[in-house]
Amino acid sequence: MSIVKFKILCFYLSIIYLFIGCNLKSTDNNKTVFYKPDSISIWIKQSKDKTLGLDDRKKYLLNSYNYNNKEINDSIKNRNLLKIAFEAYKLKDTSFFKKVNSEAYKLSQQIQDTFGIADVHWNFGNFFANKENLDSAFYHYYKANECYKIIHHDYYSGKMLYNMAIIQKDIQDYTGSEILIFQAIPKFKSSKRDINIYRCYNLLGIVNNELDNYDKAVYYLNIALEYLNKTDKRNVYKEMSLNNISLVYQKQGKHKEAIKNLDKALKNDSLKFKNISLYAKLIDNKAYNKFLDGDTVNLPLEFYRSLKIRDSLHYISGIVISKLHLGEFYAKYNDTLRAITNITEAYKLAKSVNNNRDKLAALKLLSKIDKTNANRYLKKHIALNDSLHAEERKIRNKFTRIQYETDEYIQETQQLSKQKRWITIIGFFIIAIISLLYYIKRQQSKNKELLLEKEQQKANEEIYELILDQNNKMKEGRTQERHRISEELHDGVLGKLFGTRMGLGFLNFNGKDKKKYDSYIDEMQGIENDIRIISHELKNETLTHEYDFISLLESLLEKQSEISKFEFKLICKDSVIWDEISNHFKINIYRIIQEAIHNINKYAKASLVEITFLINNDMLNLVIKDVGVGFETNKIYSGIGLNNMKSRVNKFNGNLQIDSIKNKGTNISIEVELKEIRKHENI
Amino acid sequence: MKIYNVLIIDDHPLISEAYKSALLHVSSNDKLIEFKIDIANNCDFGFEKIKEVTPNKKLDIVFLDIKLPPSKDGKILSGEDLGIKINQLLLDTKIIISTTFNDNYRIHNILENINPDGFLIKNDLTPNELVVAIKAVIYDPPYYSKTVIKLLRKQVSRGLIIDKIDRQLLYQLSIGTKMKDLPDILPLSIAGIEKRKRHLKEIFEVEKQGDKDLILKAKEKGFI
Repeated sequence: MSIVKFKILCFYLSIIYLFIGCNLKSTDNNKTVFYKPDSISIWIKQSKDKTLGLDDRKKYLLNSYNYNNKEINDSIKNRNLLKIAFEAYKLKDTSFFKKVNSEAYKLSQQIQDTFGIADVHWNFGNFFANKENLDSAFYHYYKANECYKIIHHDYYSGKMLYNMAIIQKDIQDYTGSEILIFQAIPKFKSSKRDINIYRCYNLLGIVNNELDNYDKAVYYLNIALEYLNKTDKRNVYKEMSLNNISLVYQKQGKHKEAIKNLDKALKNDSLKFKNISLYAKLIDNKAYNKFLDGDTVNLPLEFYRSLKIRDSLHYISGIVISKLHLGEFYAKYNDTLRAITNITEAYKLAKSVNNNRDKLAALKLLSKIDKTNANRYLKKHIALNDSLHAEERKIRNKFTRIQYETDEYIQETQQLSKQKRWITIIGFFIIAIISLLYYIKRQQSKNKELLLEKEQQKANEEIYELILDQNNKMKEGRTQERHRISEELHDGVLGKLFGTRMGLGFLNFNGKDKKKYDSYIDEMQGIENDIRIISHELKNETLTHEYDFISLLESLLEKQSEISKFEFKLICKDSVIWDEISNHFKINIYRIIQEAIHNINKYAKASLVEITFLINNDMLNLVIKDVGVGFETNKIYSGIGLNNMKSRVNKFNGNLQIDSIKNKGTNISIEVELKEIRKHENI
Repeated sequence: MKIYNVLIIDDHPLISEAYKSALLHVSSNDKLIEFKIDIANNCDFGFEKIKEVTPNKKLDIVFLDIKLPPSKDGKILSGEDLGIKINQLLLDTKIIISTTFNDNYRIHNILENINPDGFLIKNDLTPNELVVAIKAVIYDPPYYSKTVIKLLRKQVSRGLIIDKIDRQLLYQLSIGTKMKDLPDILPLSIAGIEKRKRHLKEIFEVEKQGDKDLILKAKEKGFI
């Protein structure tokens, strides 16, 4: 639990640090009061201590960095890295900052910390913005924004947009800036950041002023003030806004309005302590408006007052403006020399801080005032202006490219993901169709198999019927022949014999052999009787007709027994009623016996084979017993023949058991339930 | 002295001669009897001779073989049929059946259909017996051979009642007629035959056994 809490704490800490980072443009007054109870945060904290020397602070920061390096690669380490980078940035330790921030970038990517990546870009953005490397700054803010968008962090996303808007404004792409601000405002609104909304509207006012939309500018600046009122962060924002409003009026030529607003701002007595440079600016602007309005009261004293403050602050841009204003003032009141001196000084100062805007203003003024060198100044002005424009256009193009490339990338990604989705869907369908087809095919082949099996069964039965038929026909022929012989004996031979006997009997034979003669006649009667019995027996053979299956087996055994000369016994208990048993089963039993006999012939060297059918508890039992060499049951159990037997028995859910004792013989026992093998009524 | 008109119907001339000898033997010993003998060797001839009988020319005794060549029109198939005709046409004529058949079924049928005055089973017959038989038929009919008497005795003592169809069925089974052919021979369906068979097996106490047992038992009991 404590670790989780700690992580949450770290998270908030980092947010607060970064919050300060984005406030760079305004102030640095918000002091953090959170401390982390470990050496890293203590060192970071010490590195922030402004009472210490710059080198000491750098040393502490380096300590914290080294210590942090020993940690495992996780988000806490990453946060610390980002903090250290930010501090390094603040301490203007450029190389250290770059190193740490790059490391943070790598780590963020490694642990896929989008928030961390965003922070790295933000740090870089600030860094490059500070270096006036606007395109790089813009790029990093843009990237940071993309990341924040991914994790739906509206507030930071808004901040990035705001920073980008400021850069756009600085390169005078006011429309672009305005668009970005309009994107930023809803984000701040959704995250309820009134002070940021205030800043946005303030910037909108400034931008619109530059676009000469004065009414709009004033309108937005007033909205900004309204949002400012909602916050308790008064500071000097109100005065700054009033100054901005005054600048709009100034540009419009409504100098009295401008002065009114400036006065309003100057009413705040504490301003001198809170923000002396702003105070100086307000005084300077007021004086300038007065001058433009043609009111020379206290002039140029007011200009000098501002200049003096700015001088003391070494606020060079301010000094330049003051001097330019003074130059204008003197020019108007025909003190050309002073005017030129002031403006030249302003130009030089502007050049020293590379402030092109002021350089241009100075050159413009000089070209008006210094008649002798007007041409030169004008040329210079034009050249500078052109180069600036070219530069701006270049940067603008770059921005567009950055945005475009990213958009394109996004579009591409979207398209790719769309393609991927399609591929997935199509793939899924194809797989589904294929598996369906496969399933159908399988089912079909299964059906075919079943059909084949059925046909096979039918064919088997037909074969059996044929065998039976042939057997019957043979038997019938035999029977017919027997009948014929029987009848012949009975009717023909017997009749004639009888007639003869009777005829002889009535002959008057009275010789000495009379006795012998009579005994012969009796003998003839005995012969008659024998013939009659033979005739009857010949007929009675037909009684075996219903044991066709058994006779079939008998003939099989007869034939097979000749091969290896074994004796056989075929025992069928009367309780087995073959008429009730299906032909399908009979043919299978026939084949099983055939297989068994085949094995016996091949291996068993049997002297006696005994086949028994009997019915026991509604089970048909078939035992094929041979007295032969036998085999080891586990050894030959998997032969094809035995497997065939098994599968045949399995068709009827029967049991097959094979026992064999070496040199004693083999016993194959089959058990099938009668209900499995009964004839189905053919309908 | 009385003259008896005798008709011998037998397809074996030897047998006819034997009967003739026997008759002559009887008349030679008994002066009161004289025989006028006529012989037919098949059904058609036999039937013709029977039809020739008039009140003036009576027929007193017929020796009738059962196994005879059938008549050409196929109406009279055996001596049995001919015997029935004689019974119908000639009320006073005495019939002496002489046959080689000795199975109970046929004997029973002959007794039932013809009720002959003499019933001779050729196998039992000796010349002496034949002479005795002829005398008995003339003076005190009937005369039955030993086999016939044995059968009658069996039937009287056994008390089993089966009807004609049952007998037919048993007989057909005994001669090996196939089940599928039986409905053409008997006025029964296959199911009916099966039913009767079951019933017969019950009567003969051979339930749950094959037809063979039934037939053997029926034979033993003298039905076939």
